[in-house]
Amino acid sequence: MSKGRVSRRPGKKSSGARLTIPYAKEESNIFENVLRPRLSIEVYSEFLSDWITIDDVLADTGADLSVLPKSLGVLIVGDIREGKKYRITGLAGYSKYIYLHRLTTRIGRKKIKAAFAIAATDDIPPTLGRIGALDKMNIEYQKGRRMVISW
Amino acid sequence: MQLKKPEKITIRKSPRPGGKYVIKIEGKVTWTGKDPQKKLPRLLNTHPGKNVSIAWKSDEESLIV
Repeated sequence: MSKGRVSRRPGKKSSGARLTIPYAKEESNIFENVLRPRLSIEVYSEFLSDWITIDDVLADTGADLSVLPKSLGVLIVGDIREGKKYRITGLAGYSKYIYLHRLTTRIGRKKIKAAFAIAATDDIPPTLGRIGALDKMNIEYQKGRRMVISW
Repeated sequence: MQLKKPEKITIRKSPRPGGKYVIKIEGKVTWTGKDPQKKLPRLLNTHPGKNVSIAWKSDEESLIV
């Protein structure tokens, strides 16, 4: 279940579809409002044997990897420490430990397996990064108003 | 893009803001808190077939870089 409108592309194979996601209007401490590309994704939880819908995931082409905060990771994989441990660094200079896991996700009608960094803490927003995720789709950012995903 | 008045700009000492989780059922906020590890499985069990979703919200309004 992805936030946005899914439509079939005329003249394309049945696997092709478009997902239009209007940017979310949010507040910041510097600007009155900031529009951000956020979408809903589903992640299959081996731990709960069920799909979990995660809303407001930031589509961040500047992020190498997709990231989930700790508690969400626990709900999806159980023991997050079963993944390989790494240290990652953000653009603002902060660094933190993550555990790397391969998760099954659904974005619109597209089912993909992608590497996710599950943070050792809860202070990091769910983010969809490039490797294994955004890189598998065609994404058009339309003048800061919406993004259109197609595959 | 409209800038806020300077007095409203906050400088954070900690590198990252904290956050909280929000669980919605059919789009309606049902629970907000720091630890969803017991709450989400319970709500998924008690609301089969319903659209249960979870989101993470920052504790403060800041720019993401």
